[in-house]
Amino acid sequence: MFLLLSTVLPNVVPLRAPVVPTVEVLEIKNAEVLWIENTRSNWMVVEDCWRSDVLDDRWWSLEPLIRARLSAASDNLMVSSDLEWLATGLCVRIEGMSLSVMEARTAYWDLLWQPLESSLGTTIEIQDFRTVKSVTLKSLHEDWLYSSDDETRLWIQKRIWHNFMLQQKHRVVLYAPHKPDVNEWIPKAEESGAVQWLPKHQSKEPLQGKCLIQNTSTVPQIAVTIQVYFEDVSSPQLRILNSILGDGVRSRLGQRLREELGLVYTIGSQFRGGFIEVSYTVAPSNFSESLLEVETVLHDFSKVPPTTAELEMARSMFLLRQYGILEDSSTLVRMVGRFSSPMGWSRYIQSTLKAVEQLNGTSISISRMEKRITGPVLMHQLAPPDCTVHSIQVR
Amino acid sequence: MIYSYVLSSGLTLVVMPNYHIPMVNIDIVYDFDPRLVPDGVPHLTEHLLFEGTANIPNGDVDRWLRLAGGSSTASTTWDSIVLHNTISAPNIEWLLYIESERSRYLCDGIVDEDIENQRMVIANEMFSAALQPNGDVADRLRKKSFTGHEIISSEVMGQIYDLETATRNDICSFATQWLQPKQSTWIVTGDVDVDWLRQRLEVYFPSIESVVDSHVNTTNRKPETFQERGIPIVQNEGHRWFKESKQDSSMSADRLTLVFASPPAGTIEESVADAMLLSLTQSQTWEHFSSIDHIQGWSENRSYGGWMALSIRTSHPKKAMEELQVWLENPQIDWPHWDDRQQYLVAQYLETNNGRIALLNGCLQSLETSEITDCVTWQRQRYSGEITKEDIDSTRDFWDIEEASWLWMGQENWFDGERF
Repeated sequence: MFLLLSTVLPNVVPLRAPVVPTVEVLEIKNAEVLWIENTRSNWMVVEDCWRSDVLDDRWWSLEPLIRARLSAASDNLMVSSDLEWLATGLCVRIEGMSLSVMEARTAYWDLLWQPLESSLGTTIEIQDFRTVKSVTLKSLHEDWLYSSDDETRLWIQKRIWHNFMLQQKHRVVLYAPHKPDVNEWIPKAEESGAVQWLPKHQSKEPLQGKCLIQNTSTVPQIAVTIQVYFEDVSSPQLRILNSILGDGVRSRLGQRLREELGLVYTIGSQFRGGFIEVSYTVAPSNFSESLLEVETVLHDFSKVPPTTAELEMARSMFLLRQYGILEDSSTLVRMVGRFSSPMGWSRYIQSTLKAVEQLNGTSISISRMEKRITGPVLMHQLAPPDCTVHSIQVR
Repeated sequence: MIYSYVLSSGLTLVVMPNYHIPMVNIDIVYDFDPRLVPDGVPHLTEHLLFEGTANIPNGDVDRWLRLAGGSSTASTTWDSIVLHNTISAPNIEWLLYIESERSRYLCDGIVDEDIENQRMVIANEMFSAALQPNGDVADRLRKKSFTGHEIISSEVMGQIYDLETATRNDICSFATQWLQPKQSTWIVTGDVDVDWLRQRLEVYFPSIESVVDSHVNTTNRKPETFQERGIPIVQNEGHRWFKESKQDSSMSADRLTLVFASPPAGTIEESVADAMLLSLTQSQTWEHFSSIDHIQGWSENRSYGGWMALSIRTSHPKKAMEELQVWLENPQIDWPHWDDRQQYLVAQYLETNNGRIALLNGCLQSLETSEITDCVTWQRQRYSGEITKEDIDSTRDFWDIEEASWLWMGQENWFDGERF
């Protein structure tokens, strides 16, 4: 029974694409500085991005180490970093009130590099660097996905980090109330023939089978990651498909596994360039059913292509995110650094909106799926038949 | 500029406009008294707010918001449900409609299947939380430490038993009593016309009684002490527990957690306690402690008090306690650094809509709504120079190790505590 509407249902005004901000480009010998004027406050964000033609899984182990070093420098600065897998390489951001950031910038290079250099030749464990290493199921899973042996890690630090990266031309994105004097801001690096932008990115190591299970002894929950590859789908289209598939509780995965079946608390998917990665954690009692349901939802893409309502919702959510980026200076800087220029960002927005139109009424087929599963010893009994099971000791 | 009103329905409205982007963020805080509510029901109700109402089909609350360029999430604390909404500015009325539906007709839209499903979702949520380092421990410590305080020791998530026994009637009673305009505070920031919003809220949440419209006052001053405010202290009865950490895969190091009662929000003692917490968690402080590898700290305060905790990574708990005791007796606080820290935090908050909401929400914990207009100005004041020795002495009473609860997670069995 429907009650009388309390008021007339309002009309919905569709979101428009946002206007990206103006950026001034300042070129110097070994760096490119992009300045976005902050007209709102004295807040400042500085991001340094390095590209690498040897970007591979092993960089994941260095990123938290760098962040921990810089974070320990001051309470009144915020430090973050990320590995932009397809576009940039490693980016490190510091932000705070202008004066504090300016002061920190003076010592920035020493902070960033010297402690690392002094660590070379010794065995490095991330938890030694003033961070409290807490092992969660997620970190355990990621450790497994992105682990590298110590010897390789040291080789990376010695040969690439210092000899290659520091001499590489890098990009600085600055969100600040005043235009910077770039000659004061960017320390001179040694000249190198390696000054170039185009990366040759290596993808993650391919799986040895369609399904791998890591058998752990203690964690009483199962983490699942499924890489899903589609046939004849472009990157912008994948971004929209990802939204329909796993963005929020009303996405296809959220609706089915959480809202209808109550099998999980969170489930989602991420756009990873050439594929979509579905990930979730689940109690062992719900594992088999959840895996079956996820596969069913995925295969349903070919039977039930994106509906008009789903596409409209994906479009809105995409644009909502773009507005969110415009408002959050840290993410704004990150976005500009990632796309080299505001033009790149505009193209990104337009190509994604175009993908919404292209997907209307289009059937989607999955070409292959690769599963990685981490869980307790009883995985032996729970493992699907196409999975290879191997046990490891939790460190 | 911050505007605050109490509308005729009793709804409290606090608005901080910002026209940087055409978006509006609205947090809605529904306060409830946990002593009058069955355990776990608020959390279950929070989940059901995303299903449907009498006039919104099941599951469409979230879909409708997204189509309008918005999003909504929620969280539940021991005494409030908070809805976190974002909406594109031209569609703000859409959100007002949905919120009026959630407030007035939630119960009429709930189907039994939704209740069953959300029970299972919450069970999964509890299971996940239990596996997170510190997260579950913090909540359990809160409940176990203040057994004499009915509010602070109350359940948030509820136990599995509470979920299983919660009925549709419990949920409807809760919604009818507590999801009401007079229980709610709307904290709004973004691209919004304040007068327009106020008028529309009067339409969507009509008058229930004649209520005074209050506005403006000044609070540019050092906060009062808790005694001046006449607030009774929350008692911690000094519980002792132990847990063998090496058998727990979620922890990688021996750890001592201490829980203290904290000074009430908005008092001078809260400021001093915050400065002490900041100093203790700075590496410059604990690097001088021979037995301590690392200290983390956090606190949760309300106007009636709250709690604060230290998580200490150490393999020598007895020595760590002694060193901590010595420091607490004569705390070395870097006051200029604390002043800078306050200004840094306010600047950071003001950068985003969500930050502004967090700032206003923090102010509302300690100030009367009528004082909120000066909250940001007040937060930017440097007043550490006005803090006296008496203020510090009064605050040290809260940092009494003898009255604190301890949880030792480690191998060394150094005291006969109860198993946690």
